[in-house]
Amino acid sequence: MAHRANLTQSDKNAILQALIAAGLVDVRDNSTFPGGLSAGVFPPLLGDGGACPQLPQTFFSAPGSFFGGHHSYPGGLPIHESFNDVSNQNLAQGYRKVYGHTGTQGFPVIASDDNNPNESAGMPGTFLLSQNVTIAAPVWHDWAKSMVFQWNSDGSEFLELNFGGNGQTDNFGATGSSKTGAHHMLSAAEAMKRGLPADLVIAQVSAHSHTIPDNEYKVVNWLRTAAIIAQIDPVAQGYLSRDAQGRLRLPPVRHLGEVNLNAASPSQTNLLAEYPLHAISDADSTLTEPAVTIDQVILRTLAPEFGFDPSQAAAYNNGFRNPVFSFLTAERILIIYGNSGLNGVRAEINNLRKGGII
Amino acid sequence: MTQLRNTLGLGLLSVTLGLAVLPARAQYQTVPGAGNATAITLSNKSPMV
Repeated sequence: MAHRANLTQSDKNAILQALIAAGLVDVRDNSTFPGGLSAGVFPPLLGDGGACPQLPQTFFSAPGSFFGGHHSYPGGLPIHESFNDVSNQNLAQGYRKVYGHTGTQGFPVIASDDNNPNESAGMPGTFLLSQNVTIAAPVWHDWAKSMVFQWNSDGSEFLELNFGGNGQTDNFGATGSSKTGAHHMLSAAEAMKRGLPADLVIAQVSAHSHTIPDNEYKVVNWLRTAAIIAQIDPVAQGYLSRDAQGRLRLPPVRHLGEVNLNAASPSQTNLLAEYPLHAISDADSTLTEPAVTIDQVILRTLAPEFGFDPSQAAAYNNGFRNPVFSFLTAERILIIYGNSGLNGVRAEINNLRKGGII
Repeated sequence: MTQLRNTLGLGLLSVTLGLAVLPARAQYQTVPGAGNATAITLSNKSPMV
């Protein structure tokens, strides 16, 4: 893990103080978060402090969010990212299909077929939605969940610290909150430390907020936070730029700088289409969050039939809840329940029992 | 602005103190999760993963 390599306790303290001074952590959380702010910004690793620290679990065993949230089971992270990657590619392909094709006379037309998803295939070179950014942004965005959502012995999870702002005056000093889950900034810090390109890192960090002018401060604060953690200069590395007022803004990558968009009235954001498309692809929590909370009720209802007592947390989570979700997924269970009721879900779990999974 | 500076100053102080005198509960989430191995074993079995 590049951004944690050879990082001493003294280095961690200095980074934390820099985040506090920049107003990018909420100091009130130091007394309420388990282990304090330091544990939230620097989750424990294998080989921490050494030259090659490692993730504390595999990418493939991590959950997609907090315990009880979307994809909150072993393997939920890669399943979540698989769907988000499919969504992001489909969104990009839709834009290419409707807006990116040129017909006779050189006029744009809506394509009538599914086209090659490769970059610029079937469209003029001036119309580009980067396939590399489209694929990589969802994967990189949630990568750090392997660190922040570790597993407790009872099958529940670590808590995640929210930071990336002080929660009160984050909108360039005005009222606003840019606090969000630690995975968001830690993933970006790792991407920055590895020197990944600005359009990818900004697209990655554009999840959790649509990159419109009213919300630009959030993305800017998350990039600032990540840069402090990665110990790099975000302006020198091209991840941020300064406007005429000296405020940090999203930089004019590719051809965005040919007009000074920041100087317009009202000021405009240097925006690539890949940024909000990634935010949209990360936004199906409207389904995936209630899928888990509803399914948890269904599973508690069915558990006694399979010999599990929901009040016995460790036995229930490790022996029933987590295996059922890891094999079936919350979304599948919700859809089956809606159409086939308890009998449909019961049949799915019985199949797991026949397979010796529970 | 003065209020903000005071808040930041208090924050710096409290975090510095917090780092110097870690309470017992701070051990929680400061070492790798005790359930990580169980999760790795389970996810390795799932065809979805």
